[in-house]
Amino acid sequence: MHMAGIFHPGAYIYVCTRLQIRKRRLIPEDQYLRMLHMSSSQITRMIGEGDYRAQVLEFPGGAMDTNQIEQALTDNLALSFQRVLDLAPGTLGVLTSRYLARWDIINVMLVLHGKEHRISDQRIMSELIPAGELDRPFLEALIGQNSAEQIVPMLEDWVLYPVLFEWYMQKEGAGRFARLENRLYKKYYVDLLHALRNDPKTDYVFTRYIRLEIDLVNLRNIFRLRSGGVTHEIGHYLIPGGTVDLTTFGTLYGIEEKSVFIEEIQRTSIFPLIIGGLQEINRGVTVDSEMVGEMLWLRWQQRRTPIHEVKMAVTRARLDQMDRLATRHPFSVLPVLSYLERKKYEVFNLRAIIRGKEYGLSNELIRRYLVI
Amino acid sequence: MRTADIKPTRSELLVIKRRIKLSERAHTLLKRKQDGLMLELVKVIGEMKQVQHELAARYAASQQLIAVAYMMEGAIGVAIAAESIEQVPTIERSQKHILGVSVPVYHEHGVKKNLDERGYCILGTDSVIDDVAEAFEDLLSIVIVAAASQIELRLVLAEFVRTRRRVRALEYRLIPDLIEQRNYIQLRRDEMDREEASRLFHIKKVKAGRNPVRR
Repeated sequence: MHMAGIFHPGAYIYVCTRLQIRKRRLIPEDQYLRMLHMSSSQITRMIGEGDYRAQVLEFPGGAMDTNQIEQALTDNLALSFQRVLDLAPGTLGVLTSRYLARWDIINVMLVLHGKEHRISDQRIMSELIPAGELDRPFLEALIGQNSAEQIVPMLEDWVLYPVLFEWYMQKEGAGRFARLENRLYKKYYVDLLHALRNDPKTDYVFTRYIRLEIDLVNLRNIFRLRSGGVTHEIGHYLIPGGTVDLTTFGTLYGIEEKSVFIEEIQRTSIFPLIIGGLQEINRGVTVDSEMVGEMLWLRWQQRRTPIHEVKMAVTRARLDQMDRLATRHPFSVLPVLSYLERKKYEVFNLRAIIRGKEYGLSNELIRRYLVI
Repeated sequence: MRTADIKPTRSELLVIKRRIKLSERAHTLLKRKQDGLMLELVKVIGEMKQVQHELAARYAASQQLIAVAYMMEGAIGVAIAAESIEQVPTIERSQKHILGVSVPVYHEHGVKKNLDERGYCILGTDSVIDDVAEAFEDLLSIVIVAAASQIELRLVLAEFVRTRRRVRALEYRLIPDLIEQRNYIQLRRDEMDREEASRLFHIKKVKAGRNPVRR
C-alpha cells in the first residue's frame, strides 16, 4: 500500500483512524433528508441534541434565531478544526495548518473590514470562525485594538504577514481591500502548493485535489469576470498553479466563437469533473461532453455566472472522488483532508437547511444546495 | 345672494359682465388643464403599474438570491461582501414641468457597477455574491424609478384635485352667482327704467291737470 507523507507511522495511523471515526459520526444523508421535512424549531432541537450541544448551550435559553444557530455551527466547526490541528503531527500538521490558513484570511479580513467600517466589536466577534492557526483569544485581542494601523503590526508572526504588510500599506485608491484579499488568497495557494512540492512523500492526490480546486476557481472566475464586465488585467483574478495553464484561461477569455470555445474547454482537465457534476443532477439522462460544452457555451455567450446548482454538484463529485481515494490510502494526508472537507460541508449543509427554511425555500431547492 | 350689497348701477353691471367673461375664460382654460392632467394621470398610473410589477419581480428575485447567498456563503460571507462597498451610489435631483406642476426627476450614479468596482474580493467569494450584488443593484435602480414615478403621481394627482375643485367652483358657484347678480341688476335697472318712465308720465299728467291749456 502506498502510504504518503509518513514520518511516524504509529502517530499517522492513530490520527487517521481517529479522524475516520470522527468522519463516520458526521450527519448521514438520510438524516439531512429527514431534516428537510422538519420545522425550524425541530431542526434547532435536533442540532442542539447532537454534536453541537455544547455550542448551542452557550446561548441563553429561549428560542434561538438563525444567526445564533449559525454562530453555534461555525463555533463547532472552528473547534473541530482546532482539534485536528492539535492532533496532527509533523508534516500532517504543517499541511493541515497550511490548508486551514484560508480561515485565517477570512478572519483577518473580517477584523480589518470591521475596523475600517466601524462595525461594533461585538458583531465582529460573533462572526469570527477561528478555524485556522489564529485562535479566538488572539483574534479577540486584534478586535480590541482601536484601528487597523494597530492591528497589522500585531500579525507579524502570521505566515501571510509579508503580503498583508506590503498590500495594506498601499492604502491609496479604491478596491485596496479587494486587492489585498486577492493577494492573500494567491499567496495562500502558492504556499500550499509549495509545502506540498517540498515534501516528496506527499501524496500526489492531495496536490491534484488542490490543483483541481484552483482550476475550478479560475474557471468560475473567468465566467464571473465576463459577466461582471471586467475587460482588463484578468490575470489579477486568476490563481497560478492549477492543472490548466493561466494562458489557456487567457485564451478562453477572449474567445467569442462557439466551436473554438467548446474545443478549448473540452481539452481542460476539469471538464470530466463538470460532466460528472451535471450527470449527478440529471440522473434521468446521459450527459455527454457535447451537451456540457453546449451548456457552458450558452452561459458564456449570455455573459452569465455559473449556475450554483452545477457548482454544488461539481463539489459533490470532487468530494466523492476524494473519499474514494482516502479509502484507498487510509494512512496519508487524505483522510485528514477528507474529514476537514466533510465537516465543513456538514456545517454548510445545516446552515443551508436553516437559512433555506428561514426564507421559505422549497425542500427540493434546498436539497440541491446540500453536499451529501 | 345678498341683494343688499349689490348696487344696481350701470358701472356695477359692467364690472360683473367683465367678471363673468373672465371667469368663463378661466373655466375653459382650467377645464383644458384638468383634461390634460387627467391624460397625464392615466399615463403615469400605467407607467407606475409596470414599475410596481417590475419592482415586485426584482424584489422576489433578490430575496431568493440572498437566501441562496446565506445558504452558500453564510452570514459572514454576505456581510463582508456587503460592507466592502467603497463607492456609495448617489442620486441627483432635477426638475421637470408637467402642465405647470413641478416634478422632481432623479438621476442615479454608480448603482450599477462592474465586478471590479464592487470592492469585494473575487478570489475569496463565490459567484452567488455577484448574482446577489447584481440583483440588489437592479432592485435599487428600480426603487429609484418607482420612487420618482410615485412622487410624480402624487404631485400630478394633487394638482388634478386642486384644478378640479377650481373648475367646479367656477362652474357651479362663481359663474352662476355672477350671472344671477347680472340678471338681478338688469332686472332692477329695467324696473327702475319703468318706474322712471311711469313717474315722468304721471308728472306730465299732473302738470297738464294743473295748467289746462286755454283755448
